[in-house]
Amino acid sequence: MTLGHKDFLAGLIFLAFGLAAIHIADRDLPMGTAMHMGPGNFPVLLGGILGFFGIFLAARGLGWPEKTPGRVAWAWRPVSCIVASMLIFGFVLPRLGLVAALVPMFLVAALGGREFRVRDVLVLTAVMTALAVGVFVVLLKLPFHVFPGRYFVW
Amino acid sequence: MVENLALGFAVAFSLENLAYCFAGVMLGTLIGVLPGITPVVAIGMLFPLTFTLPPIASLIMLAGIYYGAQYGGSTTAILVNLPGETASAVTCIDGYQMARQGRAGPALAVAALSSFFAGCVGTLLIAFVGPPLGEWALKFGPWEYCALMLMGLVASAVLAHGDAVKGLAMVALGLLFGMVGTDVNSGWQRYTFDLPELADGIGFTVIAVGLFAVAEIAVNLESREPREVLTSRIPQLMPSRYDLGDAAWPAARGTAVGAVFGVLPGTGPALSSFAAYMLEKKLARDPERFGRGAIEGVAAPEAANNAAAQTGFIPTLTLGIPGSAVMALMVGAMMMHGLAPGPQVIVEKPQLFWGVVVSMWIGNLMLVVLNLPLVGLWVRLLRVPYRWLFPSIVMFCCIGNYSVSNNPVDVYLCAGLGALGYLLAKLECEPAPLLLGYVLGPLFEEHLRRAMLLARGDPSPFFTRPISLAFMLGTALVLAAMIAPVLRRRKSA
Repeated sequence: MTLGHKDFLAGLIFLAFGLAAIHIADRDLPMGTAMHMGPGNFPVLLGGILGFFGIFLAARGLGWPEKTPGRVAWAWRPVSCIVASMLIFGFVLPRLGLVAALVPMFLVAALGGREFRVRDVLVLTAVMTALAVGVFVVLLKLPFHVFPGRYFVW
Repeated sequence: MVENLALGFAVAFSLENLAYCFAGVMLGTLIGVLPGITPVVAIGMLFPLTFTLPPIASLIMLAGIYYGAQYGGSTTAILVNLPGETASAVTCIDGYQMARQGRAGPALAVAALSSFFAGCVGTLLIAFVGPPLGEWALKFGPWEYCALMLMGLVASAVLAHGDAVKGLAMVALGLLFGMVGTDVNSGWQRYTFDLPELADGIGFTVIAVGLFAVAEIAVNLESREPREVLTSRIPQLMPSRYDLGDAAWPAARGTAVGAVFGVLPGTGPALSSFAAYMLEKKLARDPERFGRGAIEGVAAPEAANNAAAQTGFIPTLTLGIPGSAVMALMVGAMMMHGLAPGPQVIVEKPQLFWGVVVSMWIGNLMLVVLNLPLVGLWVRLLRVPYRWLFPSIVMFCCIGNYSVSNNPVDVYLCAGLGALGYLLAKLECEPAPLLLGYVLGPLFEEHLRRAMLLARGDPSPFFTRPISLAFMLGTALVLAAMIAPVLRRRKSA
């Protein structure tokens, strides 16, 4: 039994998605008939297929002998920093404008890197923020506010 | 034929389209040279730059980005021994050895020239094979389309590198992602969780950027940076006459191998460059030279991956069935412009089809003309450390996704899919089949519904109509190829 095996975990993820897909479709959507396939028909079929593969993979993962290499070495910091930086960007941009959104985005994303050199990160943030304003606002004319409070579009 | 190509030249040679082709090739190379950025990521990142353009210009630019990124990847492979993507992994073997022997210049030049040769042949193949194939496909009913898509999806999952079962599961998951949004037939909301932002489905860029760019950054950050740029200056760029003579036949054979593999779904550039390398090693009189800087080992795989990149457009443009993640991106781009990819494109939009085909050739030419002199610049770019790169990539992903509909929800979704993509990548589930499933999902369902309706709920036409049956048998064959080794192992155990 190797519960941490890649196959087992992947199987669980697929099974979860499959079951959720079937459950939601079954609850919300009409199935129709074979001739008039309803909106729930194909999703349930897909959910079933996905669930089947999920069970297969999970079973295969359990079947591997104890010593098989296949455990995952997770590194949560990089992925959580990047996801967090994107969430911050999305939250701040409509409220306070592009500059206020990019600065924390860069700082938090850079925290996910192997090393965090304060001076480098600050320079990078300044340069790339200026570049973004130049390219996306001035050149491509995307409708972003640049600074908070200044509600005009370039 | 000739008048079609003439039409294509007329379209592609408009000043505007030439400029977009140039911009695409330059940006693609610029981004593709940066270590750790594959063509898919480059396209995903730069995608938002193109969708304000007219459809033809946008496709031309995207194709340019693709070649540029692939070419840039080869440069990185040769100079840093760091394959940006699997397609250039083989080029590393001998290319890097040549660079270590001080022959980086000839290696880069041969890579560029054989790529160009393969690109020319590939473009001609599209021009010759595309129209008859499209004409044949115009006769397809919904059954044939369903069966063809099924074959394409199964093959892309099974033939791609990685575990076949996981690939099939990823296809199913991708098809499910494609179901999100308003059902076109009935108007029912599916899996939208009452979010108005999901009524039109999960955005195409959201999925592509999340699964490829964001997830890949997270994976890259875990591995060390084994980077040492070999040469600051490249002493002699042009290969000698002997080098060219040695490289000529391998390049031609590599082109042939690549052209065949490129059309098959799931195989694409990666497998073709590997196959071409193995072929050269088999044919060589002194195979032990390979791995020690044999010029054939650069020419053949580079020709093969470019030919495959080129012929990959055949099923994409004529049938609307993409065979790889990059092609799925192209199909997604066409859909965003309101074009339904498929055989009708050649007939109804000849300017688009032929313009894009010809501009592929022009793009390849630009690559050779521009990149050899600019190699010094690319080398300098190689020194940009990843800790500067990755926050900037995140920025492009954020702004790109936000700008599609000026909505933060797209950025949130992209971040979420990035996390899911990271999880799946760590569990060795390739993201490409998922993207293919997502792109084809709505089309597949539509054809399936039509097929069932026309046959009054009877599925048997899938197996009684000859073309559909052939695709079904093809699917079964691919599945059998997947199961066979497992059974054999069981028996011997």
